[in-house]
Amino acid sequence: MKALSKLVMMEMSNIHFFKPGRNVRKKEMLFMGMLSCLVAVSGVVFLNQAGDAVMKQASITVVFLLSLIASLYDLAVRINGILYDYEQYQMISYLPVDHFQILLSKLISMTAVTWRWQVMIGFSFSVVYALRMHLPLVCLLTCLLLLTGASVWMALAGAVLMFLYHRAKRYAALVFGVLSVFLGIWARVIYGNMANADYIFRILQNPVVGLTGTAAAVLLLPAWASVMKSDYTEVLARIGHRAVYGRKIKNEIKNADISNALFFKERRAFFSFKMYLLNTLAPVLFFSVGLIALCFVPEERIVSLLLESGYEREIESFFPLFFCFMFGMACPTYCSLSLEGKAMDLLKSKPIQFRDLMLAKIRLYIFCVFPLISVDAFAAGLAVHRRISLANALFLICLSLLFASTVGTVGILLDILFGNFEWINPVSAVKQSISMPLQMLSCLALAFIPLCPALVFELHKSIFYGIVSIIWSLVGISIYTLSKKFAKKKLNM
Amino acid sequence: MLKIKNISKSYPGKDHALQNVEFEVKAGEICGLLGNNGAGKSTVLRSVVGAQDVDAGEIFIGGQRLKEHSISCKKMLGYIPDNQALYPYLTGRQYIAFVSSFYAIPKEEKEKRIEEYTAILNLEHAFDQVISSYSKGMKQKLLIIAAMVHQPGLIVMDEPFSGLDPATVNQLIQIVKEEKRRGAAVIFSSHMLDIAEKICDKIVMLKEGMVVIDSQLVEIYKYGRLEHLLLGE
Repeated sequence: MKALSKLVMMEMSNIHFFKPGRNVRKKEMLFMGMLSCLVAVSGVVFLNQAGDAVMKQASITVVFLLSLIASLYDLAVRINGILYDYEQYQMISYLPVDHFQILLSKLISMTAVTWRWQVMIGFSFSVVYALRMHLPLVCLLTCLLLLTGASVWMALAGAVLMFLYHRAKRYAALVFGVLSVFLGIWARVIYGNMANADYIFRILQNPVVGLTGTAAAVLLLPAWASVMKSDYTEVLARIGHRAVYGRKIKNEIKNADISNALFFKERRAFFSFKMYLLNTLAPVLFFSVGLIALCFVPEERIVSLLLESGYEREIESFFPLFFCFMFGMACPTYCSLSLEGKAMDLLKSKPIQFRDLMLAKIRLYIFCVFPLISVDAFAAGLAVHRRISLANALFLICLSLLFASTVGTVGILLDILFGNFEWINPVSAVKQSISMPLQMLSCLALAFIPLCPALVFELHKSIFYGIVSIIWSLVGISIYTLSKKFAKKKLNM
Repeated sequence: MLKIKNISKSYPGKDHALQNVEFEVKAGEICGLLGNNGAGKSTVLRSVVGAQDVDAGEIFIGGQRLKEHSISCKKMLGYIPDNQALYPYLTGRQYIAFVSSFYAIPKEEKEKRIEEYTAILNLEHAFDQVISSYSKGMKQKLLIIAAMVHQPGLIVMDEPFSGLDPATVNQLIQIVKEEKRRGAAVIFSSHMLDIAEKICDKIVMLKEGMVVIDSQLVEIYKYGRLEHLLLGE
């Protein structure tokens, strides 16, 4: 038991909150606190403002669904690193502990990864919901049990998928398909029940449902750990062999001038590490799927939803801003200097200018998201207006590329000032560097600060976007100039 | 080829990493930079290649001031760092193509040199594999090729012999001697005194950030063996 608790603590270091570094823990606590407060405040605003009682009652289902999506995303990003990390396994393989204990601790850690999202989003809202809807306090216990149960089930489903994936990809694909259909049916049931407020209230006031589901999942955890341990070492050995004797890659740098060579390197770096891809493209992909899905919703439903919200004009006017914001938020990993790590010294010794490096990073970003931006610009037109204007779509494409380039430049400047080039694992450069949240905050500020004058002075849409384009261009040019200056001073480039 | 004039450098928590360091390496000369751990060898070399700035003093490469003409100075440089920081996701071939694209080398010439170096260093079999699968020695060999491929006028090597097997050490010595014959200036830091005695024309010894010996190797022998001088005997 003692060994298991120590292993659990070690595995938990995958979560920033349990990392030995005090700064990392503080940052994580700050992030968790901020997100919980944001959800709670939004909940209070919504529950006070929404006119429709059914909508209010059903809101908890939607928030639970959101917390489920957030946890699923985080789990998908980390699952391979937690369950099948060959290097991490090598560090503990000599310890006198059973594989069952190692795997059980990994499954517990996976549950914790998803559980914190459930608490931050789902439970924060539940507290506000229970108070505002005058529900008995037992509802909070039910909510917590439901959310915990969902986390354990997610960890189990993820572990089953990974287990099958490492044996035969087709089995994993089959199970993934079955799970997706199951989730789809479940989502449809929720959608149907959203109108049935009594059903939600009945569930929330009955902790037995949550307790049974959670208990069943918790009992299944050790059972699944003992199934996985049967050939765990063989699977890891296979992964290790693949890592050491990597694939032979033949493609070479074409038209090898400086900018192409740097761009080639950036591209290889980006596509070689799944973490970068998942971390940056996933939110944009979710957004794109959502937009495209909206195109298939009947027009009258869209119109009625817009009218029900009471913010029809605002949604239509500020949608391009939100569109830019979504793509701008994908920048941080692409436009990161910290990812160069210790190899930065080698780059500094080469006859290249900082400008070339900077442009290669922004070029990679544009290369990756341009197809999505283009498709989404048309999808947005179809989804919101049911018609596509080429001029509007082109305007949306140019505006979002301008915004993304500006945010990327801001990110590079922040990385010059607060970069971390001494990492061992690139994840620490991507997720634990202070420049990353700062860049996201800058993105938020750049996108939404111009909104204030627009709302106060009730500017016309075209005047507003004209001003916004000029502001973003000026900010971009100033930051670019500043970055070159600081690169000379701080990086000697 | 390399002229260092009175350079000083301090870090937060370390006031005098370098103090008025001054020496020169002529074309066709091999200079060994010796000193105990923390003496400032890597700081000197990193300053020479432009990886960091100095607080005071000047560095000249090929007669040009590094601070003012950094691009043209860096074109004359070949650098082997001590940390083997390579891009693990590139293959050996891609890495060399990446590095050589920064210098104007004719295609045929480049291919000939790469072929030659990979053969000498016995790296052909792994040249199309990703760098993450390389051993420490193989990474060092790749860095050697990357530093030599554009036939630089000044070769800067930080602990180039560490992690290499005896045969490769011998090959690297031959390569360095060949570069010297070509007219290149070579400066390297090392703790392997026997190698330094074997190939160096000149020795610069650092102690606590200051140059304590700057002399031709033959001159140094008048005072004793390198080992004794380094130990302060």
